[in-house]
Amino acid sequence: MTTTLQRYNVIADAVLALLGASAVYGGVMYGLFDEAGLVAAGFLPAVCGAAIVVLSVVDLVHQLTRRPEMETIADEVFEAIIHDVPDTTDRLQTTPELDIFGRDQKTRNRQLVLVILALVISIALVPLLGLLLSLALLMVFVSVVVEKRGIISTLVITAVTIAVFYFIFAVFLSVPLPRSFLGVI
Amino acid sequence: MLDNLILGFQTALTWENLLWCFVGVLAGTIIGLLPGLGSTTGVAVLLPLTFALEPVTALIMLAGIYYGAQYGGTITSVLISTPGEAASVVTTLDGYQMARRGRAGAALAISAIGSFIAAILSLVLLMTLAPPLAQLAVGFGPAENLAIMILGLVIVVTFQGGALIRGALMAVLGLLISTVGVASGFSTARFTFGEVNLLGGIPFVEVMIGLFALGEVLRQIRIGAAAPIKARFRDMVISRKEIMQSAPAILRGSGVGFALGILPGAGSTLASFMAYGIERRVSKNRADFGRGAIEGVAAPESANNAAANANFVPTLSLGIPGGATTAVLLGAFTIYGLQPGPLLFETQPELVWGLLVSFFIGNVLLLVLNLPLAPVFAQMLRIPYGYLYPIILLTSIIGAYSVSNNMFSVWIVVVFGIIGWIMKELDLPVAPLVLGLVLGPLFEKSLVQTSALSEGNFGVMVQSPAALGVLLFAAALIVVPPVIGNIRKRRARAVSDRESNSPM
Repeated sequence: MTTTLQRYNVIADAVLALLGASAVYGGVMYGLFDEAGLVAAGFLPAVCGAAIVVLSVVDLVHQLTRRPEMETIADEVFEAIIHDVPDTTDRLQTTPELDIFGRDQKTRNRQLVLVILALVISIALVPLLGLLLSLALLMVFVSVVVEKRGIISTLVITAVTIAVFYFIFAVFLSVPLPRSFLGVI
Repeated sequence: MLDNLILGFQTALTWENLLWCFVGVLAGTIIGLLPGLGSTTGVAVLLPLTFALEPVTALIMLAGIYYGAQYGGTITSVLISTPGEAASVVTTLDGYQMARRGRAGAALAISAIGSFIAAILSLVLLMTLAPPLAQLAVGFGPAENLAIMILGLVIVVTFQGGALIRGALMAVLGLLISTVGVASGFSTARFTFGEVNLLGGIPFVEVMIGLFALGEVLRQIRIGAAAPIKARFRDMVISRKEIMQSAPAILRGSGVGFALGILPGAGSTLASFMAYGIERRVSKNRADFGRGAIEGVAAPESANNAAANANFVPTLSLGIPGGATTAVLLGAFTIYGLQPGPLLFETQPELVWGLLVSFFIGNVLLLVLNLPLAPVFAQMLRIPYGYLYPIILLTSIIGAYSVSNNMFSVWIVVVFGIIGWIMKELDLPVAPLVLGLVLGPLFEKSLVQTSALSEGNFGVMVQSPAALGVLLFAAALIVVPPVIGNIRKRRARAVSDRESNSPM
């Protein structure tokens, strides 16, 4: 395991432990048992929260001490089956440094961030532009800016995709898609 | 049984159901072979498209996507060594090696034939076993149901591979997420933070679309694309010798796949690995395993198809999903106003038997489609992912919106998409979280009922022999493997110590 991945796993465990502790607190506030001693609304959240705290702390210890994890049936089977398969180094796809488009890991990470940002912004624009127009802009941005596709082919594919979606959802399924503030589409 | 089958054929053989079955298996094959899409994603994303259909027609189409994707997933395993589904991972070992030696067509052909035979055999078993199991389950009380759900969660945690603690962590997290909102039997709104949209709980389908579709798209962007190997029509010719050589592997794979797939929570992945492992031990051709042995393709492909069908046994008869995709299908049942579980066979015989019979028809269609046309489908691997994933993104968003005509659903997809991507990056298993989320409401209902019936004494769980047996089995699944693993390691260490201490 790389140090970076280990660090992210430690952060994830800490976040989960915090979430679990909050669930225990919330569960206790909602009430664990009613007056008759029967399970109440807070019981399951509190039990789940406590379990999450315990499990994430155990995992955290595993991450920090790099102790081997408890094995599952699946691990036993996978290990028994795969361990002596002849070594064909390319038999499983590993993350290549350069993909078939010649992009390195740094470029792909940047693309990922751009896609997430574009996604969030386009959804935030739905009340202003309507759903179909926002999605069309998202598609054009991702294809042209992120993927560096040709603008003409992108516009054609986007127009066809949006038309198909309009037909399926708005016409065939009668879904009232959010329109732009001008009420056009 | 015969009456039910006739009823099933009458339902499945209408023009409308045949058409949607065809659409489902075709879409499933394409979804299975496209990188970044799997059966769970396909069913979750296309679920909103079925809202205008009759429930039986919608379920026939969705189930078609599920088993169609098993066929399609093989194509990517063989041609680009990138499994479309986790269950096809083991197929890459020999399938890709066959492809590199110019036998891609034969690998695809035997997997289609094996998948078909496994599907038909497992369907006969499914039709035989599911109704009596449902009848047995009708007599189960809350304690037994609770025990079965605990077993389902334990199985998905122990059978998913990877770390036990992390699997358990995700299953419990799924249960916790399911407690958001107002649970049946209580009036308290939990963890809603004043958000009206959360009163009904975190919407299930949207979570699935986020975790599987968006999460996978984000992961694929980071991984990058690989070049496929070509499969030609003339390569699809498979020799008589190869068929004879594969026949026992197909039969054994079908048996192993069904036996494991029938367990609630056990996925097809373990079934395919087990089938491969068994074949490596018993095959006459075992020296070729890992270098392009045809049995190494036939056995796991048969197993994962048999397991996919067997997954429907607990789903239909107990209301407990057999895997992630059947969990989404279970969600679809509730959207159509159907209550999956033992009573389904009594209350909706037309739907259940129509659905089961449609599996036969769907698998025949898949064989006809896949045997000659696999190279044509393989051409789709040439579509640049850069064109594909914006369409997946758009389908996910618009599909999520149409579930409840609410932008809140879209935000749920985005949030869970990012969570799903982080989980994949950190190697946190998604399947246990999904099962916890799906079982959560039923789990809490049984918990409350058990508490009420026993006046708060959970000792009732061990007073019921059936519940006790199920719980002991669940405990054994957790305890036994590490113990055996430790014994095995100690023995191996002792042997290596002895060898290093022995005089040269």
